[in-house]
Amino acid sequence: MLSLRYKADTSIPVEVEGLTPSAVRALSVAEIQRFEVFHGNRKVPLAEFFDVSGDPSDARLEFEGNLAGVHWIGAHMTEGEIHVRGAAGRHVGSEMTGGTIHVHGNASDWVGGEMHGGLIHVHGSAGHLVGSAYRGSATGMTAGTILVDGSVGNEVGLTLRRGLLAIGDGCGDFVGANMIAGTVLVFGTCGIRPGASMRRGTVGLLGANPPKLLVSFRKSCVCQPTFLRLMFKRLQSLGFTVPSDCYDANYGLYHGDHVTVGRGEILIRES
Amino acid sequence: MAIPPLTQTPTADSSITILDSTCTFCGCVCDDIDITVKDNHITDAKRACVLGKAWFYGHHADDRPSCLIDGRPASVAEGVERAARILTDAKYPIVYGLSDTTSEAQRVAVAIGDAIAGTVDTTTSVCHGPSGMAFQGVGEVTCTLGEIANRGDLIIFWGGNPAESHPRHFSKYSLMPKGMFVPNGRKDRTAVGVDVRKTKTAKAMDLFFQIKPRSDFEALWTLRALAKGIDVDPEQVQSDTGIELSRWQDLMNRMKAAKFGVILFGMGLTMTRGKHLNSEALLSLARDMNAYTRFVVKPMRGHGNVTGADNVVTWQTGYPFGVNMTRGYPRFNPGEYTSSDTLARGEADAALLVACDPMANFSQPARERLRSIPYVALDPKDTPTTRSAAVSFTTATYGINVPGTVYRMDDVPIYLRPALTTSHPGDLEVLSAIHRRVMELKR
Amino acid sequence: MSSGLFKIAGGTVYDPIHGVDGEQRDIWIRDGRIVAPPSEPDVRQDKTFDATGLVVMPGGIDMHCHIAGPKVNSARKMRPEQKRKAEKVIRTPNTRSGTMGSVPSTFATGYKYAGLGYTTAFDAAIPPLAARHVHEEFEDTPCIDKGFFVLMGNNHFVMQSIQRNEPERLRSFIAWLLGAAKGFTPKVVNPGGVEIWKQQPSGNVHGLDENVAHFGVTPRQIIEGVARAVDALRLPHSVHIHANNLGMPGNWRTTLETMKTLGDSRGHLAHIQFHSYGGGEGDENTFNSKAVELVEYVNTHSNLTVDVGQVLFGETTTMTADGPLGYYLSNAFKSKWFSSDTEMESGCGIAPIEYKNTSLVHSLQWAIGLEWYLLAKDPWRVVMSTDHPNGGSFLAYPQIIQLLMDRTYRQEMLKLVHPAVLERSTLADLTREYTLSEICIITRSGPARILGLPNKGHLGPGADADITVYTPNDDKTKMFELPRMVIKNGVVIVEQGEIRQPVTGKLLYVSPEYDSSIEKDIAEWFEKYYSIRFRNYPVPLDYLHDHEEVRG
Repeated sequence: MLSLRYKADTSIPVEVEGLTPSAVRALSVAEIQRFEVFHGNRKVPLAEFFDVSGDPSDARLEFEGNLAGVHWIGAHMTEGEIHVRGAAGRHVGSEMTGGTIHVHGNASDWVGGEMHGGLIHVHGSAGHLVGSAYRGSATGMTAGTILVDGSVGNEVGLTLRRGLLAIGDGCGDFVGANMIAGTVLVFGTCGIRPGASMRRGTVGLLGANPPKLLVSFRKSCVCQPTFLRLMFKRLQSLGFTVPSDCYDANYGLYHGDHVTVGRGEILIRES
Repeated sequence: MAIPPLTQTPTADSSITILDSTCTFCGCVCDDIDITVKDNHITDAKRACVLGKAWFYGHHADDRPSCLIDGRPASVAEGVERAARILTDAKYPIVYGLSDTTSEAQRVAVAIGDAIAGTVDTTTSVCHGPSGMAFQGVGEVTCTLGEIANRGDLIIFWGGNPAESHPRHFSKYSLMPKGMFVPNGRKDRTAVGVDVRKTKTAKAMDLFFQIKPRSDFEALWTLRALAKGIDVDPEQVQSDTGIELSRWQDLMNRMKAAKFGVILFGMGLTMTRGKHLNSEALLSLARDMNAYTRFVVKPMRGHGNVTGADNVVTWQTGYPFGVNMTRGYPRFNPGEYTSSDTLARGEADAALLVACDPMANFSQPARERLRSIPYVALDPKDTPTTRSAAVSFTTATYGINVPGTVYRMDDVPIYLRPALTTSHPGDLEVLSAIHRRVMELKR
Repeated sequence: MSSGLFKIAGGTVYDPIHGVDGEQRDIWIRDGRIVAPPSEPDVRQDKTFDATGLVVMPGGIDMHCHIAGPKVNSARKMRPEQKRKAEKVIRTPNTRSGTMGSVPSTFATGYKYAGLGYTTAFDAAIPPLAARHVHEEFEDTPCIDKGFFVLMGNNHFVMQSIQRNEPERLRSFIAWLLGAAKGFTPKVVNPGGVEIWKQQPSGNVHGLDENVAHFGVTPRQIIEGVARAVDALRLPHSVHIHANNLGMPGNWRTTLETMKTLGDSRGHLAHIQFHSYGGGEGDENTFNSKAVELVEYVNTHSNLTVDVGQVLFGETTTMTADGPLGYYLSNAFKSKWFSSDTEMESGCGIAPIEYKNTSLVHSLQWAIGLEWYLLAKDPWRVVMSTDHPNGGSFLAYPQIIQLLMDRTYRQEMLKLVHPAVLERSTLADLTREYTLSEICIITRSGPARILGLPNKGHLGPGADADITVYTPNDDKTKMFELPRMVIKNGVVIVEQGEIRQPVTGKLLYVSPEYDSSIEKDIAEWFEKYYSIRFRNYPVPLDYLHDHEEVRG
């Protein structure tokens, strides 16, 4: 395990894009200390901001400290494990294809942006655009799992292509907007306009006081879908808490968004 | 770079008229203003609206110093030197504003942003930036203003108040003109307003929809559903939007029956809950409508050359606003690299502010950060922003003192015919000097 | 005493205009131009580049691309997702940063063209109302000389003059308009079709004799009228035509009719590949190549020239003044769609698309482009283009060169495309391999002649010293991707892929004479319908950066 203890005190963005378990696996600590990262527009060696120690060969990185101003942690990673013991900045796990990231704190916006595989678990809250497409993309996240124990902001799962997002607490507006496929489950409250423009895929609103859906959604029935229970079991196995009363609840099934293809589903807990 | 000379140089004792001069107060960029100048004052601005008149008459020669460093008069050369050092020392400098200046000056500002490895953003990001983002999502169906004048027969004004923000819009472009395919002008047109309150614009409309606040998205979605012939729940429509379904249906019928429908939209859409997704709903509706008839939209751009700023930043970097170049190449991410955000989060450590006033209109955290960092401000006016600048330049006013190119709200480029002389340097001159010095320091 | 001379010594020179086909020659440069070798024996050059063993050609000319103006800029704005994933153009002490993807930013455009050895490019379609925008972007597009074609095929005054059967009025208007915009030649895009698009949902024309409502003209009349006017004005380049029915199965008949309509008038048919399709109307399943038939006509009619508009597989962005086409493509590819109608003048459509080698239609499009090159008898009248970026990026030119010069490579590529190409086109049977000289013709000497640029496309005395030096390589893609050196107006601007000294380049335009009495007429019409003032429309000379008027 490689330990990276954050010792900087700067409000200027620190970008560690490229610092992944695979990139440092075969390097010595001295080489890792010289790894170039960005502090605003300056290239600086990693050691300027982190005390580096340990052994990277097991492809496990442990960041420690308040890294709310450190961005692109785990971006593009393909394997291995990253733990952040503290807050994390923007673009955590952006475009990653494999491996696991745990943020034991809050993360900022764009967690798992256009992710293609692997697992991200934010044990605190996250910002906007979790598991989302970047601006202009016709396709967003294509695979992987993102779990956020706390709450998140707007546009969760924007243009989701495939993958699983689970939010333990509340989410903001436009969850699952423009979705192509995949699953987003929100266990807390939800903001307005969920599933706007969704084409296929599933949004589960499992918390209290669900919002009204847009007029272009139509209720089809009330059900207890088996697949949900399987999802919950899977989430539990990943260390995500699913309230026990979700298992046997009734869910209203709504189809939409009929303004587009309309083959998406929104499940709203009714009991 | 070719900078054409002033077209007419007034002398102290004669009165001259400059024909077809351009007003840059709002996005209408009217280029038919005949300016009469006497003794270096504008004494008449024929055809200017109330905002244009205030613009033209409000310019007076002043003897403020062209440059202040830390509030004390200095030479422009000293100011340039200090400005260049502030910007090249910075790790996360921002270049912001740019809307009230010429494209020639904007081009140099972006060049500075590139050279100092900073982030370039324009006032678009606090105005129609969301519409730009929506455009990147779904595209846009639009036209130049003359098309509206010649063909538009159903004109919808959504979330804006052009009667007060763009006073000549109705008469010049959208409602009154006797156009090729609308020969009877206003009589051949139906004007529809959609807004949360009855403004002066509402009074000029044939139909007005006073929708519930922050329900633009739901209203647009209702229209999209009606366009597709989807059954919607009348009660929900009423409760979502505050308007009965039958009225929306009637509007949709009119939209489909129009020969050339137009939706002109403003901040009511872009700056309320939903923002870029509100804009996206509207742009999507226009696209949907083209299956049935010709339909276009136009964002009602504000300041005279904010459209120019979009264009310049796009052609030079590839992205329209919020462009980060700290890593040596352009990156785009609204919300991350937009100036109100980089300031509010305390990330920017220096700034070059051109023709804007963030000290007056940004959020408190952003203003506090700005106050705490060294920044350079260029502005013809004395503003809260210039007053707290480390280096401030009083510059010539574009279109009044200096020429240059501006882009109207529909991207049509128009040249400025300045009327008055001034001792202050133009933005182009100051920015070019700063750029030269920055390049020397960076070598 | 400085002679100011720069000598490119002993290179293998290709200069088809002067009949030089791979001969070892010296090239002498002074004051930005190529000069005759010094007659005095004791005159020494200040600078020499030893080009022994290297190939020397005039700088490349892209005579049909989309690189500047409102349409291109909207496309840039619309594709942040493509730019994000594309090559980064990183700032250096003497170059600006930028972005790539299918619509590069302006500085990047200039650097990349220069990097390939291109020194001149023409934007194919500009509405004159936006001329100033183009001039500004051109000034920020370094390293190459530039010009643009002015959209006129749906211009109201043009249609009106034709309807009134007033060819002299039309001629004067065209001359005035070219001078007002500082453009290069009239461009006709889907004549009449864009106007109908403005009037009706999914509106378009489908045949040359359809009536354009409200204007009472036909596409045929527009083509004829403008072509004749251009010849009467003796413009250096002919009328430049994007024919009706682009992309439609069966459109080859429209193309043939368009060619016939031109009669003896000069005419350049743009991106001819997109106009060479057989098959049933709207029926993709019968889609096939009619390149043979059309090439035959071009081969036997020397008044006609074409550029190919080669398709390459991959993602790109279509951008065209053909408004209805943009809508069609966006629906076909289910992509985002930008459209903008310019008052009185033109339209525009932008839609991202992807050409796939698994698609029958796309594979045929790819094959048809190659058929055109390989079947054409006269390389002087067939120009290389991708209609950048509609068929693909100009960065693909080296690959196209390899496809033309290397039959084995071509056959390998054929195996990777849809098998229907084998039955529905003749490509598999074409064994021709282009020579270096022919490549030189279709990428520089031919376009220079077609455009009527006497100082370009050759290496004789008087020519602009725009020169590209290549290191020979059997892998032609590699050879043409990375020139050894690129010289622009006698200045070394690129060496081994690095920009040494970006220059601004100049604007090439025409300003034909016309009877100025027409201006009153134009002003009256203008003030009635345009939304800007007549006085503010023309671009004066002092607005331009470096410029050069080209005469016919």
